[in-house]
Amino acid sequence: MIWIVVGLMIALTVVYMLRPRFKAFIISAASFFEQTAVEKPPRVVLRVDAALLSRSFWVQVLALACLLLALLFSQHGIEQPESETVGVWFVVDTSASMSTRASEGTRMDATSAEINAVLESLAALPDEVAVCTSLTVFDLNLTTPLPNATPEAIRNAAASLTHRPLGTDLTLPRRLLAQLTSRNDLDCPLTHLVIISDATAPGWVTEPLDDTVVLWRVVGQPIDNIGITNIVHSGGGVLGWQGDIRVELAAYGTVPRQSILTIRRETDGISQTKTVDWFQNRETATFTLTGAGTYTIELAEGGAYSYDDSAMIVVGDTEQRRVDWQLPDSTIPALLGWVQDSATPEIRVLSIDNPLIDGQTPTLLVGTQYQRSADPRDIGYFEEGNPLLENLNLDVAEALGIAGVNPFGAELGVRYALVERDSNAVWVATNETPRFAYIPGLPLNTGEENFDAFTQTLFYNAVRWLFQTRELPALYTLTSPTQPTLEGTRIALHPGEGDTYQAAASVGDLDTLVPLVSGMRENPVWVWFVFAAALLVLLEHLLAVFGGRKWGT
Amino acid sequence: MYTQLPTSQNFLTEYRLEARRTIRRAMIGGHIMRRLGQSLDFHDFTHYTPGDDIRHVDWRTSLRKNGVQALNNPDQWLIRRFLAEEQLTLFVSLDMRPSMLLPQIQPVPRGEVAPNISKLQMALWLAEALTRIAVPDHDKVIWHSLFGHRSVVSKIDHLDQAAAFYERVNREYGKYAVQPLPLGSDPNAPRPEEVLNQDGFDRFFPPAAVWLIITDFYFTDLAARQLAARVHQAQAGRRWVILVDLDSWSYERAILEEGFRQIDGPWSQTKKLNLDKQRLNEVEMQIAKHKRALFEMIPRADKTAWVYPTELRTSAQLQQFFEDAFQRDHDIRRLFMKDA
Repeated sequence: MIWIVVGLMIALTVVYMLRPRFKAFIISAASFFEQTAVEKPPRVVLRVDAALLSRSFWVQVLALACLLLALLFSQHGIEQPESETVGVWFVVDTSASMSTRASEGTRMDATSAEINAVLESLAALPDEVAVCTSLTVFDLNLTTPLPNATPEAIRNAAASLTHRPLGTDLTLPRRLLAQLTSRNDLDCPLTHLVIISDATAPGWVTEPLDDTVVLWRVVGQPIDNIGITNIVHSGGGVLGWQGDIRVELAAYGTVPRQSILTIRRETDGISQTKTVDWFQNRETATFTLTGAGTYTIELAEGGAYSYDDSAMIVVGDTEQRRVDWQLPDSTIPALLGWVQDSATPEIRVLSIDNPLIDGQTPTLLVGTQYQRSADPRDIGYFEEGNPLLENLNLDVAEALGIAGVNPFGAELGVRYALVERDSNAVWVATNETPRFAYIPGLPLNTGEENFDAFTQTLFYNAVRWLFQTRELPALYTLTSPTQPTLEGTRIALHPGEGDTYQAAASVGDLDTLVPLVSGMRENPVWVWFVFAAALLVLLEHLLAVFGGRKWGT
Repeated sequence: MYTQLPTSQNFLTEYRLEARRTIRRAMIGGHIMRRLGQSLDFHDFTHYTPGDDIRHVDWRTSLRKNGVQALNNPDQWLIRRFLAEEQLTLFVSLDMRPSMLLPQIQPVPRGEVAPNISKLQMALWLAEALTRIAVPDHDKVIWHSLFGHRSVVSKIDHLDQAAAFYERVNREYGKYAVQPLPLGSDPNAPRPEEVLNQDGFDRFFPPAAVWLIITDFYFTDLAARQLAARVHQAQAGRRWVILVDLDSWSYERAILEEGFRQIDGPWSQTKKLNLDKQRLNEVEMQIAKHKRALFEMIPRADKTAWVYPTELRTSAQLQQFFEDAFQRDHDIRRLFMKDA
């Protein structure tokens, strides 16, 4: 490329040789030259000294020289400071935990003060620095009420910010950052992302970024709190639900010795109170309720955060398991309190000899009781992770010499969970659709501990797995972005919100707002040389048109 | 810019005294030299020519010889000629055509103001030098533009009048401006500025006057014929005609040198030439041929040439050239010699 430009310069000189340089003279005897023999001067004289070194020639040579310099300096640049614009994007946590109280006010109040501190840092920047600010709030959702606003508008908005009884999705600021950095059409170009929250900064905050400074500002000091974390049905498995609920509690910070928990039925005001003795920072309390209805649970002296101090739940009737027991021995259903229901059973228990699998009702197929041999029988295959084999001691199964049945139900895709090696006899099998399970026999109580444990574990694993499809209705619902207000049993027991004792530390310092220059940018110089060449060409043309005779050649 | 004579008055006084010490032995012109204080002696009659003093017409003799119709016909008037005049009348015609505004200094030395080396400047200095010598002796001096629609005639009785003349020349002929002849124009066509200036001949041109014509002779044959006719008339009135040829060709040839040249000048189209020695010789021959043809039309006039040196770049060189040329010019020196 460089040689092309050099060639152009030589060609330009040759072109001007074709237009010889006529030195101008004004003489009084000029008219006598008219009378001499007319002889045209040669048009082409290939001598450098004959070239018409006119002003136009030198301007054109200069333009080519600029192009040559552009090529020579194509890899060079002039370092310049990056743009002196500071675009601060405030991302404020408005989750329920921001309502945590301290002596100086709530964490939401601290957020407003933090924003003011940042705005004051921005106001201290020199006048030549352009400052723009934006505001986004997040909890379980992300909204941007002020995409490009003056610092004063941000200050006013911060003063009126309120928390919402919702949880916190800490991935949302990361998603926002990704969105903002991928956009070039922002009215307020992002240079600083200032996230204000009471949660510990995720790991990505400390990852260095090229163009953006991320500050995670933690508001609020660790403060003691105890609260309800969850309320669930107690029981409801193999035995059915008998009216018990379990209230799960957590203590953050200093663990109290005791807490008073009261549950009151709304319809009649009957209440129960339990004293929870704290041995660790997580405890539970179980209440046996007197019937269906709406109950209010309150925790006395719940601490700095109030949304976990009380809850309203709705409880249905107690429920017993309905089982279609078609085995002759009905000791077990009686023992477990199962109700015989052949019409709408939750599960059906049949003999393997008389299977009636209707495809609708989960069914337990029971073999002809455990047949044992004197010799141990090796297990040839077991299905890892099968729920029926959970906590089962397979060594016992081998040692006991339990007899299996011939493989069955191949057309249904039965998964054989435990198979004897030599005979391929099946000890345990499960099938998803229709849902059924096979076990060799009912639980025994022979006094032989290993054997009895094996039979009982296998039976209860089987019926638990079969009952699994049935769930009791939830005792309460959580607030959500679409329904963010507390109402009845819609409460705000969002996980982690009550943890007010997090020793969270801020990441990034407000001083990073002060350095105006986020980096040096290297501007290529060749652009200027090309620009100069273009200007010279334009100038030469203009002067050729308007510059008179001296620029005409 | 035309400037007044840089030569000192002492130089001119010495020049005059030196000239007066010399006896004029031979008279080429038909004039009679002055003798201050003597009376006029009648010599003979001659026919009137325009420019003759009408007071010298002898009406009685004209009527007697040619009849009463002679009163209406100037060609039949007879005027008296005298043996002597009381004073010298020096009628100086200055050519002010565009070619006289050249040459120009080329190139101008760095840091110096370009001196005016034009032929008109030289002519004006010559006129002023003669005036400075003549006026103290009570001679009459007339400055006259040889050609031109902007005719100038001034009787210089005092040197202050010369300054006014310079001002007027500066105003009207300050600098030469290139006006190339349009393509297709006839270079030999009549030129408006080459009309002979007839003013002053009837008022300031007595018999026995000296007519000094200072020019480069680059005018056309047509103008030359007008001039020749007027010279012949003047000579018939026993006037001494001196032609001063200001020849700048040597200087112009020296600055042109050889090579690619764009040439402009008066009554010339812009020419781009590859000049060589042959072409320059041809031009030189053309100029010589042109002047020879003109001089042949005026055979009885005295002719003197002031040839520009090839090196002329500074004011000092210009002054030196003028003084040398003035000192060496024998025809001009004869104006101030005593008669034998």
